[in-house]
Amino acid sequence: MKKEIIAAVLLLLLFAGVLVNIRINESIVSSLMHEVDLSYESLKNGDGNKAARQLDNAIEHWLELDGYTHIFIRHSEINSTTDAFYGFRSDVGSGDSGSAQGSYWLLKETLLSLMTMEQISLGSVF
Amino acid sequence: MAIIFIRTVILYFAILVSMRVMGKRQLGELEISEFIVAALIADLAATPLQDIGIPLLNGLLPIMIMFCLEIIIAGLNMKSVRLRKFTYGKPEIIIRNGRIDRGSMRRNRFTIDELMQELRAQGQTDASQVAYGVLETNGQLSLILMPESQPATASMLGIRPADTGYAHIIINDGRILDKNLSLLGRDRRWLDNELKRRSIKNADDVYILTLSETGSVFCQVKEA
Repeated sequence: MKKEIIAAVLLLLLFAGVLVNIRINESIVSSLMHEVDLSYESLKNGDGNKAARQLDNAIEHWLELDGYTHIFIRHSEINSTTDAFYGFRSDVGSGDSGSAQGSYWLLKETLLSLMTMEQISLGSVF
Repeated sequence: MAIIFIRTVILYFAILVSMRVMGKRQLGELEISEFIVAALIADLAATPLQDIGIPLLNGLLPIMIMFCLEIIIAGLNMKSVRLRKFTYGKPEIIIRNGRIDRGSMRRNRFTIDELMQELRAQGQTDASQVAYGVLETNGQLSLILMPESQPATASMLGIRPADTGYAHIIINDGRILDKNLSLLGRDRRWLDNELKRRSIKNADDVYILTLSETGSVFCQVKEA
């Protein structure tokens, strides 16, 4: 029975670890989305330099998370998120909020998908 | 390539430990749940090995989860007969008093060809000689023959054969197993004498040498 109890405890610990990972993932994605939103706001307000600086910080933040992302997120998802970041950065560099809108939403959706694919829901399970 | 190497080593040991802890059953004797785990573990391990874009954790986590579940279910099966029936099924009699139970055969999706193959594998060609043919939960067919078809035992013949005892390997392909020697109360000096008696110069020349608990020795030298 000792073996079964250890297995049950290990299973619970694994599940707890999975839940903790969801929280960490949510926190990371929310923080990145907030930084991206601030950058887009600045761009809409006509401050292209500030928008670029804020977005560069967000990109740096994303790249610093390398240790976490490569262990817990599929590498194809990491690559598409990085691409979306640089796509938006390129449009922010032009200073035109209208042309940056598409890449902004693409980045937001890509970041959101990182969060939703980890969350426990019928859609993500099945 | 280095990543694939490291991943292979890690996954190999993860599977080895899981299978080792699950038990010593041979693959052909696996119960259904054990077979599922074995098949899935192999598949799960292969996924992160084939694609280095998938985190290793995606392969390791399901293996660990299944490993825990298998241990828990096996433990609960020991306690509950109902659960055991549910997870492993129950043995079914498909031959009773020499007659094949068609309903039982159909329920178990067992064909006549498969039945005859199983009978032949156990040295039987005639189902009428079988008193009970039981399809075990691991898929093996156990046969209990009609009394008149059962092989005669020593007690039936009224004889008392001598006990041959269990034979332990003393030399395995030239390697002396000292543990088995001492288990049978012998030593290297005894072994040297045995080899000398057979005109064998060295233990390296011996392919196999066994010693039974009753003292009989079997020896076969390596052929050139």
